[in-house]
Amino acid sequence: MSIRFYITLLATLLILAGGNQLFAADAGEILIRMGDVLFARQDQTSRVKMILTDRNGNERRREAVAWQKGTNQHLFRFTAPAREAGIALLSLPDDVIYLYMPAYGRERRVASHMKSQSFAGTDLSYEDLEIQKYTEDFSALLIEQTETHYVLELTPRPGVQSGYSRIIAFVNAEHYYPETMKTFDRKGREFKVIEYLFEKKDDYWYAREVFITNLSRDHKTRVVFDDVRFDTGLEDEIFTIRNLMWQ
Amino acid sequence: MNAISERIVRLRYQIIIMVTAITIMMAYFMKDLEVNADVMSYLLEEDASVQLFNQIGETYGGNDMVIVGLEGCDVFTYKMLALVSQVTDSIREVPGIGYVTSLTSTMDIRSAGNGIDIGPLVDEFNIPEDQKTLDSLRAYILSNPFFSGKLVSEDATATLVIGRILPNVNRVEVMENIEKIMAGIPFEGTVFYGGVPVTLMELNRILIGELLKIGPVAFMLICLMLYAGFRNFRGVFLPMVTVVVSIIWTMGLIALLGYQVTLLTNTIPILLLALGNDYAIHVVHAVMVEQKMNPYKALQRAVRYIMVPVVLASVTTMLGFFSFIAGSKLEMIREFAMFSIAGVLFSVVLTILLVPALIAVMNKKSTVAVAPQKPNLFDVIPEKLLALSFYNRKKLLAFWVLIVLISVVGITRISRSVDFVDYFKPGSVVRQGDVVLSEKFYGSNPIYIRFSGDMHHPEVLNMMSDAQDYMRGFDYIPYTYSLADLIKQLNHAMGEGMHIPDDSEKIAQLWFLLDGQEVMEQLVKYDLQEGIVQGFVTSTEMQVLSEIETNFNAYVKSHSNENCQMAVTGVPILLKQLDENIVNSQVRSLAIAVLCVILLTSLLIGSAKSGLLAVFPIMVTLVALFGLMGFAGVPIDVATVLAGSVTIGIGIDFSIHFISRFGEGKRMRLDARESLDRAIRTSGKSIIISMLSIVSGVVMMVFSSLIPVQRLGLLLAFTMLVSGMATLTLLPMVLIKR
Repeated sequence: MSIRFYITLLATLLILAGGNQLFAADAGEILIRMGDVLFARQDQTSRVKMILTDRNGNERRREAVAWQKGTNQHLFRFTAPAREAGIALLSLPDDVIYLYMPAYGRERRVASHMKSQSFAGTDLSYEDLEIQKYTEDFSALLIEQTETHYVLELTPRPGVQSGYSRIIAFVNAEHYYPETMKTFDRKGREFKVIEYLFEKKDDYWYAREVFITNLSRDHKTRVVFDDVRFDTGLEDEIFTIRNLMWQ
Repeated sequence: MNAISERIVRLRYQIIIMVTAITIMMAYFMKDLEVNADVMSYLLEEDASVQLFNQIGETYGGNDMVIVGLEGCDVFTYKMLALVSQVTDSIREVPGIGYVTSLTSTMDIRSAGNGIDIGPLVDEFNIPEDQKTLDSLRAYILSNPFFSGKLVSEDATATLVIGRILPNVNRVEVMENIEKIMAGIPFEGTVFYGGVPVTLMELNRILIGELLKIGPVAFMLICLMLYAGFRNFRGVFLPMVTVVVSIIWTMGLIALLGYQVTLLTNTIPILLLALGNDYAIHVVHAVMVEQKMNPYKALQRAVRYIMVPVVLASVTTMLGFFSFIAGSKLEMIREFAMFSIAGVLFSVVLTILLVPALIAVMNKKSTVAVAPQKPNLFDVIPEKLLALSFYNRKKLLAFWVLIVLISVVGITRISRSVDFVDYFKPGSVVRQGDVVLSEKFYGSNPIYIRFSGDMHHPEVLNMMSDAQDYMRGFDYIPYTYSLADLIKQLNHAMGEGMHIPDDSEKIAQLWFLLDGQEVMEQLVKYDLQEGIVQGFVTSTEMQVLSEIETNFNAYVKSHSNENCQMAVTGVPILLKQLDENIVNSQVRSLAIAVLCVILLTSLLIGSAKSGLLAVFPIMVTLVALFGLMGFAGVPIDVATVLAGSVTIGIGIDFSIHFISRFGEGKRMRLDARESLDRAIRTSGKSIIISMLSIVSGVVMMVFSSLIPVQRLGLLLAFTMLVSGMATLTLLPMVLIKR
């Protein structure tokens, strides 16, 4: 047998034995690039429309103004319907969430383990709002690659509390934004399907619309982002309890 | 008539072949017979309470409850809580289940300092393992009235997983699937079940096994009775062939028409086994009476004499059953009546066609007619009874008057029951589960009050809260639950006390916190313009059901206003509805049966006055029946409701045969006494045989696993004896006076 044969054999064995590692390394890079695309801007302001649809096709709508700075400071202030106007949610680093209810004139801290609960009746959880967490809290495995997509399997890193046991993410191969995420609950059951419609504005890719289908509740949510502005220089002061209570 | 009997004899082989072919075909259809024990599924769809019950089921993810209980281990251990989680997941997957409530799937609102926590009571994904956390969980849950007694017993030795069943699904199938799943889950303690679905599943099982258990014994007993009466093979064979064939035809017809065997149609084979004999017995006996002649002539003569009374007797029996079709709104009772009529029709057609055909064939094979027999007990008894009515009229009359008077007292004590649990013997799965549920939990029968109004409105939520207070004012409704409870808890968590806020904006903002929680779909409509208060009723005693229906209907009527309309429904209301339908069925069907029978008998005798007198024995029997029910504590239920009209239908046959034979004597210009003597000789024996064979058949129902069926059997046995005796003693007194 020629040396060439042994080299080929060795290369094949190496690929077979270490292929997953090679894929994993690639997957991690894809995930980082996805995070880079999603959080390239310093801050973002937008008007958010949420259309909730139950299993019988009944609809409910909510509107809010959303401010986001960096990867872990969010403020949502609801504007419609009228009787919910002024309700505000402030999400800070380390899973700290505050809720302000204007009718009561006081804020309450929301327990950290509520992050897997529904956010404002939508099919998004508080956890879903923090997309950057995927890069920090999940390890990724590239399970499929096509001309248009990378398909990643994300699993929570040890010690990380997540509402998901697994996420299959379909990442756009050209621009690295997620197009679809299939999530599985902590018992491994298919849970939610999240589909993103990305657009580019001011050199940034952003989700213009998000469609979430909760398979266990048979409930759907469509989130539309309007009037999106980037890098307007949002101050840290905006993301404080004092500002939360300001109307 | 001669022509008919001649033709039957001539076409005997064709008749036998045709009957055999139809029987094979019907037996083939019988393989498709399905059982449906769901009594509730036969409630009237157009009834407002039923509609609301179904509507609540559709809107709020189920209306009826299936309860799986785990008992015998400390609930607050990792192992048990993990098991609860596993059972919850498994039941959630069962088709037909809407929502599942358990320790690991119920929502809890907690507040501490400046924080608020809305989430699962026990996190199914993060079940505590360390003893300290488990102990604090135990202390928290057992001190919370929303969970203690509802989901976990106060002594923490039992816990429930409650599935809500979607409307219009087969409750029995759902329950069977759950039972299969539970059989595959290892558990050291005891699994028990509760709720209407488990009673229906058990009913279903019993119905399937019942026929196989009771049928052969009843068959043997009737054969013995027939042999004792006729003392020959023919006297046993002919009635039994008729009966068995008519049972096969009837059950085949049920399958062929796509109907299912119910709690009531299940009794048809036993009833036919008892009733179907009646007609053939009279034919066989008539042939024997005429046996001195040439066998063919005897047969023709017997058929000629017997055809009219047999047809009339069957018509009255069918009228007895028809009274249910005309008088009952309960589909289950109507189906039972419809197929009983079919069964009786088959029996009489077979008696007229098959029995003479078989006799003709048998006569050909053996030209020796049945050997004359010495008079036996069955000949002697009627003659003795007749003598009694001739020579001891006053004593006899006094005896019957006494029976009637005592019975009237009994009638005032009669009770009613629609409690499915009462159908089962002590020690049965249903009774065992019921004991644990009533001793350790809040019960299993849901009641709902629907509120149509703005769920943000303080007035509406206060109305809900007030209604809950009202409900809990009854000892048998220890637990209620609604959106108002959650709003109060959240208001408390916001630091403003355990009450409904007086500002609708506050409510709207609290609602914001609840939105998206699975439990909300079980309490309020998506558009927030409707919500329900749910309660559990621990008793299904008739008095409780009546109180609930009366008080709650009055409450929702008087407390509804332009902002909020209230309506009430639930298992107790439907059970009351079922009871009312049963009572109405009883009253209407009895009235119809009595009228029809009086009319027919009057036509037969040719005098309205005599017609009325002729039904006298059956009236006495009815009074005795209801008197017995009152004294013996046998309630009117879905099965015993049949006893009255069935008694009229069957019991009047005795009178018809007797009156018919009496009429023959009159036509032969005999005087009343001679005619009575003739009637006793010709029909007395067959009445006694018929009475005893019916009693032998129906009494077998006592071996049923279902208490209402047992009671029905005993009641029918009693009424057959009374009506037979009344016919042979009271009727001669009535007829001799004519």
